[in-house]
Amino acid sequence: MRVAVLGAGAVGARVARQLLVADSVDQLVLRDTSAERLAWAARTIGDRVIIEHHPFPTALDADAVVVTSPRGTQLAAVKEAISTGRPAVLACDGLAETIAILKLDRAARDAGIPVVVGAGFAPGLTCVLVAHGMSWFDEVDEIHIYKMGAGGPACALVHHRALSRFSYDWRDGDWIRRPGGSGRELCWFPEPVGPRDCYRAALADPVLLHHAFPGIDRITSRMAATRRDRLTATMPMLAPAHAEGGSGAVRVELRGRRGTTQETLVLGATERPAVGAAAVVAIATEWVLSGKVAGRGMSGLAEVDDPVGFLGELAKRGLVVEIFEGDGVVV
Amino acid sequence: MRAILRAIRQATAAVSVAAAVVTALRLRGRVTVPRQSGGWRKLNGPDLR
Repeated sequence: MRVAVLGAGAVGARVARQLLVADSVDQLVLRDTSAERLAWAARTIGDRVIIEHHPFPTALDADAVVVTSPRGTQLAAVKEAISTGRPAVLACDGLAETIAILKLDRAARDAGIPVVVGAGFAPGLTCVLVAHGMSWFDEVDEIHIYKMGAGGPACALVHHRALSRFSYDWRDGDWIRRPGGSGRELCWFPEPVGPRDCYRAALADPVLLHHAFPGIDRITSRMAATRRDRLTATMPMLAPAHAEGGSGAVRVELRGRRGTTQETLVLGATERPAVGAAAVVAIATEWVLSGKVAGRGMSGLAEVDDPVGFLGELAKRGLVVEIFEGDGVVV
Repeated sequence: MRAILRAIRQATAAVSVAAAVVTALRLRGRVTVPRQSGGWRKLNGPDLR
């Protein structure tokens, strides 16, 4: 098996390392436009990786493609994967690009390949948590997603811009457009992140979750932000983003009916977002290669058949999921 | 001179009125958060059924 990883950033380099360490692939092609990143990756990953620097050779020789390149480059990468009939796994988090990629569903179905969209930390892990949470209920009415933190610089840029764009929430059969940075909600993430103010933002989770569960009445998403984040959201990033962000967290909240009672389920996880995203992408890639992602066309991780198995694989890689429990909890 | 003093008095009065309004609004908007207890625990066997 040979896999091509597009992007050798904070997520891509880790995905490459995990796939090789787990012996999921025999050989790996790693592409990036930055010679520095490729040199660093080549030193740390080993000799089973083939490095390709820009300008890339036209032919990509691989059984599957993992897209961890920055926002704005992923749509073209997916189109190329579909045209060459290669399954693809994407760690995308930009709302507009995710929508554009989902619109390629027909082309992917015609090509007979699975394309896993939004296989990162959020969306990605959040979708798996929702898929698992759905099994606890007889009927789910609402899904609410919260995320905190960013991975590498490309992720930080998407995070920064998301607060100044419109958010799209699904409510009673229609998309509700609201300004990013509005709708403050104090939200408790698992430790060590703890309580954070979360706001609406242009996040891709509701789109992917509605794609998976079109019958849910209400799907919203919010992300943690500081006053400085909100104040500077409409400006260009004033300082270069960190090579990698610190601790991040996700939290999903499902409300619905179980038996005759209305219940709320809150699941969450903490991890550095790039580390968490890499684990999710690596497992999704392994599942695509082994045929565990059986569908054809575009799908998010909320559509995996075995979310418990996926969470078990994540736990083996150190990403543990937590559940919030308590008396008199107002969520 | 008299005009300057009058302007200072008016500004002081305006600031005082604004402060009083803000204080009233903050007190009026204060809500009592219900007491909560609970916490996070790792998902284990029965939760992963």
